[in-house]
Amino acid sequence: MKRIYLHPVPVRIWHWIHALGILFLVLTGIQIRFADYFILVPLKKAVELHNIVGLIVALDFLLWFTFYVFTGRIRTYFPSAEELIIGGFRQAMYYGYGIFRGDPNPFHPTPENKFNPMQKMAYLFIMLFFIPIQILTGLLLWNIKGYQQIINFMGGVKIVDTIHVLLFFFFASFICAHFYLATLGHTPWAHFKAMITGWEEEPEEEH
Amino acid sequence: MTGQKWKWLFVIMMSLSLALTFPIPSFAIENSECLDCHGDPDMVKELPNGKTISLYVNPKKFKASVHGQNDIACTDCHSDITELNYDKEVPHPVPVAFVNCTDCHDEEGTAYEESVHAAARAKGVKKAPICYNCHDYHYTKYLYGDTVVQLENKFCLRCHHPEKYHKWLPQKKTHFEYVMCAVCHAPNVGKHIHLRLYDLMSEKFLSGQEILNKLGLTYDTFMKRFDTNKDGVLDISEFHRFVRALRVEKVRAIFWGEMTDNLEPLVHKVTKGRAIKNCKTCHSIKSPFFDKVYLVLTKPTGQAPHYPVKRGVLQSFYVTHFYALDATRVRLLDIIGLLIVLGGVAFAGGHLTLRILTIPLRRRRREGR
Repeated sequence: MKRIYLHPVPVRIWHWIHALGILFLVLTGIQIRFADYFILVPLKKAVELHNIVGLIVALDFLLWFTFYVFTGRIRTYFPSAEELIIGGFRQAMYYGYGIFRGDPNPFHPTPENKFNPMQKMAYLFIMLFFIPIQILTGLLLWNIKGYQQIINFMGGVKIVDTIHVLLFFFFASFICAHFYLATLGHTPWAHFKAMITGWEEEPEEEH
Repeated sequence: MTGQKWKWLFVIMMSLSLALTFPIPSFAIENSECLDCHGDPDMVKELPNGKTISLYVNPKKFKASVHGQNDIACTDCHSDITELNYDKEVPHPVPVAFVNCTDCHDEEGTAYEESVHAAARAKGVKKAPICYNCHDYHYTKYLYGDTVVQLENKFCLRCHHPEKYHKWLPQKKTHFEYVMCAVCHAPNVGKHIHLRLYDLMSEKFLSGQEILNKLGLTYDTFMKRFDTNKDGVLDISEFHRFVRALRVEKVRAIFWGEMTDNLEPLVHKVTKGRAIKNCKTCHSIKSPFFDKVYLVLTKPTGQAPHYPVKRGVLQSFYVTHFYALDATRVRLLDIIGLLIVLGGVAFAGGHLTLRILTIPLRRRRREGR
């Protein structure tokens, strides 16, 4: 079994703050959106908690962004043209067919290139588009009067809310898929363990 | 009784009957007579302390007031002035009696008596308002066409500083701009939603007359044009036709929504300590505060015909600049959202199921079979 140091400490700290934060935001978001049907805490408390955790996640995102930009690791998120087409297709074939047959994973992570092409495409959208948009719309909704001009420019508070809510549903869906995909390591808990210890275990290639 | 006495009794009875049937005509004092003096901007009264107070009544502003528009005479309120004696320096009794608005506005008076303002007044708080302090003396206006902000500036904000209080309230400024104070502070009054057309570029509300002129309609023909099913309410498709007609006429305005109390007598019963503080009273899809929605077309007189609109319009994308959390949420988004979440669950569940079902396949392969 090969061991690779894939996740440095700042990345792990960021990841778990982010994971817990987003899970919490989704739960409080459900309560806020469907206040008549889900009563975890009083509505006002749910909004307050949602705002506080939203701010933590926003700051956590800034931490991540700064770390990745200044260390140059941000490149990890950008697939090459070859990865985008051939690598993506190969990976999709693996998840959609090969994995059921017991084929080996065509992608082998390294500290410099730790995401497979499909992960790159997904995380690129999530980290550089969806999360920032969600943070931006969340900030606007946090102080509607203060950001009135921007909100009007975007088409009104309902438009901003619609974007925020659609992304909220997306993240709720993503949590399910992400959690499941994290069980696709060489053991169901391998990827979880790696995100705690930093060390990913990779089975040796059979020759 | 002699015949002579019968004759006198007959004359007296006839005189009484005639007097009761045809009262002696009184010479009512015309407003113009009052304004002969009080219409002079320089008319002042000197107080014992040497200060002066103006006794001027602006005739135009009075005519534009609710009372002026309804031809209320000065002496209808100043009813202690029954005649003018021009032989005197001041031709009417001085000082004039206190005008009691509740002589006409009795329901408003009853509601006021139960309010925090009346209670404060009873305790000797001189600043506590009576009718005039809020409604003015002679220039009482129709309030139906006023926005929440206009109403607050005319009334509550003259004495109260909402920023000092309401610490518990999230999005304070937004609430203050879109929700009339009395919505929470006069909890027993019915509520409704106003929709007005607002031009974001000029930052002005479009008057009812402007809108109707663009559409070639009048206040009376507006509903006839758009309420095609004649049920007296604009439903979503009828509202769509209205929006489309505005676009054809190049009216680029947004719908400005706000929550207001019904302007009924009970609105004067402003309470202390009993204001609505439960968010879910409004922020619920079941909240009755959003059941009545009106498109407001203001008139220059201050009146503002209200045209009923279905609640569903608030939950549509025709109204994008007014959104009350949960209460006016777009239901379609919930369906789309459910499909998105189910997509994630189905992907994970489906893939896992396939992995479980294909375990024998992988086992056979490992064993080289």
